[in-house]
Amino acid sequence: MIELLTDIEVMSRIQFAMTISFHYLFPPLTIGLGFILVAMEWKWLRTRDPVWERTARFWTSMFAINFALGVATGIVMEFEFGTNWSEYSRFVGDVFGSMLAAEGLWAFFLESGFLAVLVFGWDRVTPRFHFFATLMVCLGSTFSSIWIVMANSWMQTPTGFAVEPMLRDGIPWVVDGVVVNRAVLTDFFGALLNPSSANRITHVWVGAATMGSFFVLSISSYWILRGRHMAVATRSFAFALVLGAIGTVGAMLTGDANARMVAVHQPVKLAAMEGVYETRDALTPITIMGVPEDSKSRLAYEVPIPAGLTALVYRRLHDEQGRPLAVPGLDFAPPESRPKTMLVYASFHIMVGCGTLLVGLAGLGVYFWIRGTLWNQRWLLMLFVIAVVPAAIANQVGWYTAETGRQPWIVHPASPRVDASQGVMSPLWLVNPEAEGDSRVRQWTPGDPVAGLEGWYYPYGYRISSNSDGGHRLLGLAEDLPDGEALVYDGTRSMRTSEGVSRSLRSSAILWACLMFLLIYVLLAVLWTVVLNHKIHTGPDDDIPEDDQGGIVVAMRRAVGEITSMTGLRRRGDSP
Amino acid sequence: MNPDLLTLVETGLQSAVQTPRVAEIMSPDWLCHLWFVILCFLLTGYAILDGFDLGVGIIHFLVARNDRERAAQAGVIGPFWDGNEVWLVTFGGALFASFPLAYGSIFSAFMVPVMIVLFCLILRATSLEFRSKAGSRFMKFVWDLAFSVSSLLATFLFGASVGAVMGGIPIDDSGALKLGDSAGMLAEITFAITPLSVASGMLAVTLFSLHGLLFLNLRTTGDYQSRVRKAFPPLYAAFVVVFVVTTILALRDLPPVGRSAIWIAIVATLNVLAVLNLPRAMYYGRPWGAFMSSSLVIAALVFLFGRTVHPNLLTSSLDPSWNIDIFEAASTKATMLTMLVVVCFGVPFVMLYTAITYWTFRGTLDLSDDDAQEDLH
Repeated sequence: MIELLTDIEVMSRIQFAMTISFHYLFPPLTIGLGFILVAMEWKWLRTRDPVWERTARFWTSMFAINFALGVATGIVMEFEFGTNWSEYSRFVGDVFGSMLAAEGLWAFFLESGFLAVLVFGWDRVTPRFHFFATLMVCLGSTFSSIWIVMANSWMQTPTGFAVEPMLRDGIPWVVDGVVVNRAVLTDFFGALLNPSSANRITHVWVGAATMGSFFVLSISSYWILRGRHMAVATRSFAFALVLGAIGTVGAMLTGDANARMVAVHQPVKLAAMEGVYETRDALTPITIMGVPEDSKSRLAYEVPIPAGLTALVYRRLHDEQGRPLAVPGLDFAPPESRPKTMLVYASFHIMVGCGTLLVGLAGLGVYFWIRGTLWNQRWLLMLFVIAVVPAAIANQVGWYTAETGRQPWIVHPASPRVDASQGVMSPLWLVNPEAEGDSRVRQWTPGDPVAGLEGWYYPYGYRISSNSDGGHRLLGLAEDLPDGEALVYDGTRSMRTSEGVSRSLRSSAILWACLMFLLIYVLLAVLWTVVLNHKIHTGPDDDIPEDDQGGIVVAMRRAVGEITSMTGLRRRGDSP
Repeated sequence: MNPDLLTLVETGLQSAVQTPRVAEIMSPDWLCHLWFVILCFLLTGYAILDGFDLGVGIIHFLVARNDRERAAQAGVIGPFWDGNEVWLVTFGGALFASFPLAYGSIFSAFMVPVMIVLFCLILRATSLEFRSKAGSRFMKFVWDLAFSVSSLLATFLFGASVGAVMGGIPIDDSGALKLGDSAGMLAEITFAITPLSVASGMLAVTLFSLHGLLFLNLRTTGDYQSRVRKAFPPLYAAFVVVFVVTTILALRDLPPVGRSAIWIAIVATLNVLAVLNLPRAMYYGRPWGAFMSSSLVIAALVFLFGRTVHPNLLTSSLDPSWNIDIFEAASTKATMLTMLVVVCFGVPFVMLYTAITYWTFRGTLDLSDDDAQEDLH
């Protein structure tokens, strides 16, 4: 335990995990709520029904609090790249930095610019313009999710770059006898549209839609159960239910697409997610639950469904020759290139479990809504009140899966498709850790037979293995590729997490930072709960004194506009 | 499109790029200078915009008499602070993208101050968000205090870090901070404490409070505004004293700048004129003139800072050859060009959003609390 506290890498990871987990409570909520706000305001604009206005106003004030916290907690991460991960920043700055800067310039300014109008501008701009501002805030937060997820996806499946030594005074820069390399951008759009970008962005969006809609569902069903604010509550519920159904079903579909993408580009991550330790020459089962034991390389207490994983990954069970298709296991990578399975496996299964629950709940909701008896199903409404918790958990642990699954890499080895028949790839050097002396390394060109290469590793990368029949193929992964193409992992184009941490850090400083953030986040969590609780109890349309109605939102609105008649708003020149 | 036309456009573009002048401007060295200027622009934007809301935070207890007035005062910056902080985020992203080596070295060296600043920024947003939710007068006061102290501390650390970067810090040949083996508990902070860094921290505090006061002066009217005006002379006096001390320390500590001394002289003169214009504008009752003057002072100080460190981004106090300059810290030409396109398309839109926000929330308010006034009469 004490060793952990003095390990700079572990502490930096804990710090980053803590700050980003807390931050990520808010963005999916505001993105999802943004979709709903746009729909509600559109409805108000079309009908001019005051109930819609009250509805939109209430959810806007909810949006505002969460958005402010999202902004305040989000700035932290951008600077942590520099403070704790400066070696990483140097390596990826050329590629990753430009995406962050683009996010700031093209997304953050858009959302923060129009947020003021959205929150404080109800009485200052026309309804049309207010709708436009809502749309812009929603677009801005969606853009920002695109940029940041593309940046993260580049760390998972990097493309569009080359690695070259850094120059200082015109010569390669050597620190402690090692040349300092960096990734340089060769193709901006190639880097943005890397193989995992599109899949992961859509998964984040449906996650956000689920989060936002179940947040609204929770509060609305609470009101319905108490018989309060019925007009606002039932309308909000209906809107959120539609989005929730789309979100949860979408999460299932995009989740499947993501897993298949991971199977091709990060096979070891998939093996950890599913707890597959051993690559067998047989159909791979899927486990509903189990306890991964890295020390024994096995999954204890497993509940397997035979051939399940093979079917999900390949959509068939056998190849053209009738041989069984296997999903690569953790033994596909050398031990030092495997993640700690427990965290990956647990978070992935919790996410899937929560997702399944939410799909079922949304399905039941839609069913009773169509039957017209939804408001009488008190048990279901009670479930909807608490369902926001699994929605938030699913969003959190989904990211834990993605980020712990790629360990020990901070920039995962790229997997370019190589046309082996044309020999475009230069020879690769393979390493056999069990061999002695010169025979530890040998050259291999993609397209060469792989028989006899069992036990050989790409440096940093994955093991080549052939099937028991000695067939000339890379195991498993190349199944979907045209003949003659193979996936090749290039370990020199990657970075280990341990190499990315700042050189100058002392663990005491990180410990203090962690404690400081823990303190303020606990405080924030308590306050957030109190304020939300108050807002929910006050509701959208209770006529209570302004003073108690609370929230800086109201206080500010009072200061800026609404109450000006009381204190006397005087434009310059109006004064007597 | 017609293929001939495409070829024509292509040749045209090629010949345009090949003309010596464009080629010279687009050379890697020129791009480095250009990006240094863009960073200075972003830093100036941040300092002027977030400067006023940090300043309003610092002087939170100076003008307002009770918690209703403080709530109203916080409301004046309510629509703006969030957008203002985006300038900081964009500055960070741009530094990351254009000079990753310097980004890593600067922020890892200043890890502890940066963490405290981030803590303060969160605390500020939190207290602003929750102050009116507080049930009791005491809790409201606690939030007001948190808002004010976190604004003060963040501002001081911003200023002090700028001073420390100007003076140079102990970084080694790997670009990492070098603390002695026997470094004490607080070594991560104490390395940056010099007379110059403390003075520039104080300068930031006094300048931003003045700037915040002038923003309140701009946005308010009536009895409240007259109290704002009364607070101006003592704040101004404090600022001038710190300004003079910092200038003397900077002239003493920093190496003389040769080649472009003329620019420094011009901007420094403008800066002094702007400082002198502040009381003049206040005396003639021109809130815009006063606010513009303090903005100009901030812009001039950022320029002087940039000109002093250029072409370095971080100077090593151990060995000048370990300085990190813009050329070795720079990204590749491709990234800098790509980012230039991003900036060219982005900045007009940023200007537009900013204009819309400030236009929507224009006008002045009387923040004075009527009840409190009645109490006085």
